Amino acid sequence: MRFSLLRNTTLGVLIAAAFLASCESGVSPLIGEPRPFTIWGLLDAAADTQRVRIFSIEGEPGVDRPGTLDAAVTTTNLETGETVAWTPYQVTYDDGVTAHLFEAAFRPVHGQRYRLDVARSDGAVSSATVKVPPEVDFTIERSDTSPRVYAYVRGDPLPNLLGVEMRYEATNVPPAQVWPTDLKLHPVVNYPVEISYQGTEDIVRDGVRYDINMVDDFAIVEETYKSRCLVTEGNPNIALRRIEFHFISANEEWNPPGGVFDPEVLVEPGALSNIENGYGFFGAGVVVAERWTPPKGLRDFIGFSSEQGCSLVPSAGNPACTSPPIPCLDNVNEDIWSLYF
Amino acid sequence: MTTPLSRNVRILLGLVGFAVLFMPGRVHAQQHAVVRGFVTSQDDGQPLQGVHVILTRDDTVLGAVTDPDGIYLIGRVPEGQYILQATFIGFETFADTLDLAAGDSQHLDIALAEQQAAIGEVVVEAERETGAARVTAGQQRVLPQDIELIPSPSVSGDLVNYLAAQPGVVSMGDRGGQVFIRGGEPSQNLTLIDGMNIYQPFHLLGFYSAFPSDIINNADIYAGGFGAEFSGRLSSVIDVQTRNGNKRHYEAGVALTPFVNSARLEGPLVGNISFLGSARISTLEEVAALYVADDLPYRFGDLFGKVHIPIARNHQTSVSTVHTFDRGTLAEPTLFSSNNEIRWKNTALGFRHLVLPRALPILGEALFSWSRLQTEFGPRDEPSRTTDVDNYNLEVNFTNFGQRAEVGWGFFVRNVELTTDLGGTYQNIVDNFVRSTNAGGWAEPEFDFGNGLRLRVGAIGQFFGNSGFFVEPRMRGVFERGIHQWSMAAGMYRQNIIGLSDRRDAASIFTAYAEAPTGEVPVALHGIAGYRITPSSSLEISAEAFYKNLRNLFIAEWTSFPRFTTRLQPADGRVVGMDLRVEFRRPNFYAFLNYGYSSTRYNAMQESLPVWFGTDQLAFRPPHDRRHQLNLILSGSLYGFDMSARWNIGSGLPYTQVRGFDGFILMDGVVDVEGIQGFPRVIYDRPYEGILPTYHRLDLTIERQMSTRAADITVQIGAINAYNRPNLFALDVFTLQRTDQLPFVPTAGIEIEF
Repeated sequence: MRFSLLRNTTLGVLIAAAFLASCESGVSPLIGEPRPFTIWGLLDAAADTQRVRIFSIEGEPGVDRPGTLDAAVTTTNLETGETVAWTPYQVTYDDGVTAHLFEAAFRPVHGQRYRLDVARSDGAVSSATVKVPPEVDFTIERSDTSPRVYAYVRGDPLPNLLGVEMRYEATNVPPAQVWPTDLKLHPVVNYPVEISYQGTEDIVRDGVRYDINMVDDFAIVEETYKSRCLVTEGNPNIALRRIEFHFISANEEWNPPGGVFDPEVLVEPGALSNIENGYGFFGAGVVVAERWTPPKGLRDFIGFSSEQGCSLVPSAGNPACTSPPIPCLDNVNEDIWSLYF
Repeated sequence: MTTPLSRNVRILLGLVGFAVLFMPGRVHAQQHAVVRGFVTSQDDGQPLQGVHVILTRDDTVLGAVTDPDGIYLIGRVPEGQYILQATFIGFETFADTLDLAAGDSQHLDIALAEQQAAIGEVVVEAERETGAARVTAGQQRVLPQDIELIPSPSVSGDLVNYLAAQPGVVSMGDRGGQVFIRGGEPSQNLTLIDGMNIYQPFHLLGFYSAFPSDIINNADIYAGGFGAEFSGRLSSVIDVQTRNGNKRHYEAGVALTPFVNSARLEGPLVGNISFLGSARISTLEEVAALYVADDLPYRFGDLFGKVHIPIARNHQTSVSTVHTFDRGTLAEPTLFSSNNEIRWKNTALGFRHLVLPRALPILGEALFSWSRLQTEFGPRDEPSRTTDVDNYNLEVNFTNFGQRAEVGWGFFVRNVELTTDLGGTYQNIVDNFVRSTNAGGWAEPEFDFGNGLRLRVGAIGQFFGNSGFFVEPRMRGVFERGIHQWSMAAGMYRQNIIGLSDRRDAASIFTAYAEAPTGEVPVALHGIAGYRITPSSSLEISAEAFYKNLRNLFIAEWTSFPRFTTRLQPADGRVVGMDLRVEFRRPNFYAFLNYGYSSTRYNAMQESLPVWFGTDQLAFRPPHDRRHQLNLILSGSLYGFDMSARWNIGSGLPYTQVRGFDGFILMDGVVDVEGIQGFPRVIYDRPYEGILPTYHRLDLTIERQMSTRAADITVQIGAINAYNRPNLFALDVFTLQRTDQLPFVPTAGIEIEF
């Protein structure tokens, strides 16, 4: 009796175990994506050759995509009907990653609309339609004695203006020699600082005006240099090589949420995208810029200086000689980017 | 420079001095007598908890029940001659006659002798003081014998196995070292051992924790709704009290298994002073790896030591120390992280002093402890992330005893020092050193209305670092009528030191600790309602419903970059659920069936949500939201063999599905798309809308105990995952690699006790 009970129980347990073990345990996290391509690129009205980067949307992870991409790229000028077929080519980066690019030799015409089509052999197409912005009239009002600069942008109509910035191409000024002699001496660091003027424009007749005070900008440059340990108490000087005011005259769709190109926001598929049946962004625009170097007197007035803190005869009592700047990284931004490049 | 310790001492002494001036009971103590003392076992000197100590005179009956330290105190006793009786099932009844005058304060220690005939039903009755279904408003008391009923690959049990068998408790299975209680995250659990705060007590292999059953006197588990004596955590409390070493003779034990080897030594020192020491070290890499196909790259261990010093008849001191360490890799290297090894160490030292003042009907407890958690992630010589937590805790607690009311109150000062180097893990958290002080007081009277109704209403007032002063009301109530018991609990809870984890990756259990931003201290509201029925001495059934409302949480932001470095986003949440438990006990048979339903939802408030999903907030199920869970535990004796089985089934956990993979280039200007390499990108579906497969597993053990003149020997064989279910532990959606829990693993072990 006991034996048969034990036998039946064992049999029951084994059957139950076999049943339970065979229950579905697989998992398929990939649910598929019907859109065929992701497109990154733009029509540059200042360039004679246009390029676009195409990613096929894959069901397998990985960044290394050798082989031919099943895609044909064309652009059509919607004003003239002219169609251009783009030529595929590949670029392989140092780490073995292959990029699939297409190029076409033409210069887009200001004010005209173009459609980009990326077609797969099975008929799936991703496409984008963009209008090349009209030309703008850009003038800078500045003098050799005043830190105030006025930048005027006029157009009819005034296009979308992106990335409006003053760029200060500056370096720190470490001492020529240090004391004691075994103290590490870092070379000059070229660290440009870009200060955004996006959204600060004043409306003027036929356009906008940007009011720039380079003394105020210098405070930002100095703070940036301090935060990266590029200046010290004994070596506080920052030398200015050149200034550039620039912006992009862009198509209307090239407008990030909140006016900021935040990669953490824009990385989400669909954020800032004008691609139909695909992901990515295809823009149209042109960079407009003016560069100049203020005279020494104005540079000094603004706050820049090329003077070294330490004399040619270093001494232990001179902090400029004993505390040379040692650059430090900004964990918040630079670490994350260096992770990928 | 003022050290945290000296500053804490000054703050605390000031608070205590102020309180003593207004101490309740000072006046009444002069008009009544007080009887107090310690009740211990005559056999080994261990304190006996749950002993009924009763004073009787004519129609007057006054009494008390001993606490985990064996302390009883009967206050407000009118003068007269009384018969004192101490009764405890399994022990001979103690009786004495006391003549008490007004203002008398008698101290009477009682040593109970074991009944030689205590077998069978008596043992069963004794065990009814606790039990898996004996839950009162989220609180249950666990004794070592309860833990031993759960199958475990070690011969002696571990508290974590008992926890994992409870409804509403979600563990990550046999890997991971994390326990979620009723929707609360691991860092929201307050885990104490002899008053020492242990931040990460669960070992990498899910069967083990810092709490082996052979050092435990009792453990109180509060799944929520805990009283005012506990603070600083949002979700739950695990309060472990260790036992004292044997005060009569030396004892030693050694256990050898393929997973862990352990040793224990205890005995008397000088006079009535005793010690207890325990050590465990994993042997997975040396032994289990020989016959288990899966990689088991885990090394862990723990040390525990305690000295118990009865200074005087009414003063007791104990010194405890704990050290644990873990090292292991939970997932394979990935494209973006070549070394996923995590290492952590807990170290703690604590002093606990108990006093029964002669002049007052009061029990006093002073605690001082220091504990440290050190965690590293990445290569050993150059970890990519580290976080250290140093916790200094100084508190005094009192209990005033009256006939119808018992008042618990106290003060505390906690100093937490956080040192973090996150290597950009949480990009909007600045790596630094933070010192945060948390000081306050609590009071919680318990009223016994005499008709089966008991009510505890209390509050905590405390300062949290720079965030300000907060008051947290608490309430617990119980109504007993015959075989029925109704209970409820409610309260407000805040947590200033928060754990930051990236729950998108189950294999990444690195938790960084940080102080909550000023004005944004996470806060929770709990509500619990329960019912219990005990139809017979063998059967107990209970049901509980619970609700937690969570505010000011911090969770990882979503990103389509294939990495686990992220920014943090604010979130709110709520947990709602219910537990059902049925426990059946007979002398040679034990069964425990439980079912838990729990629904946890977080409401994320990431700034990008309007851009991504067209909504300001997005409700989702966090990845520990196991909706349904069922446990069946069977244990019995047959032909001298003790057999245990545990079958656990849990519904699948949420995860985020993937639509595809492409690349991302930041189009922030006239970009040279040829010169920029760009980033690999994952095209995710909406967050956590996929469900992983159901988890289920059967564990079995068979034990045989043998006694010789020199030693007691226990031999155990068993099977983990007896029917070899491929349960998923982690799924790397970047590489589509899955890591499973342990497959079928046979185990064997032997324990020798001298």
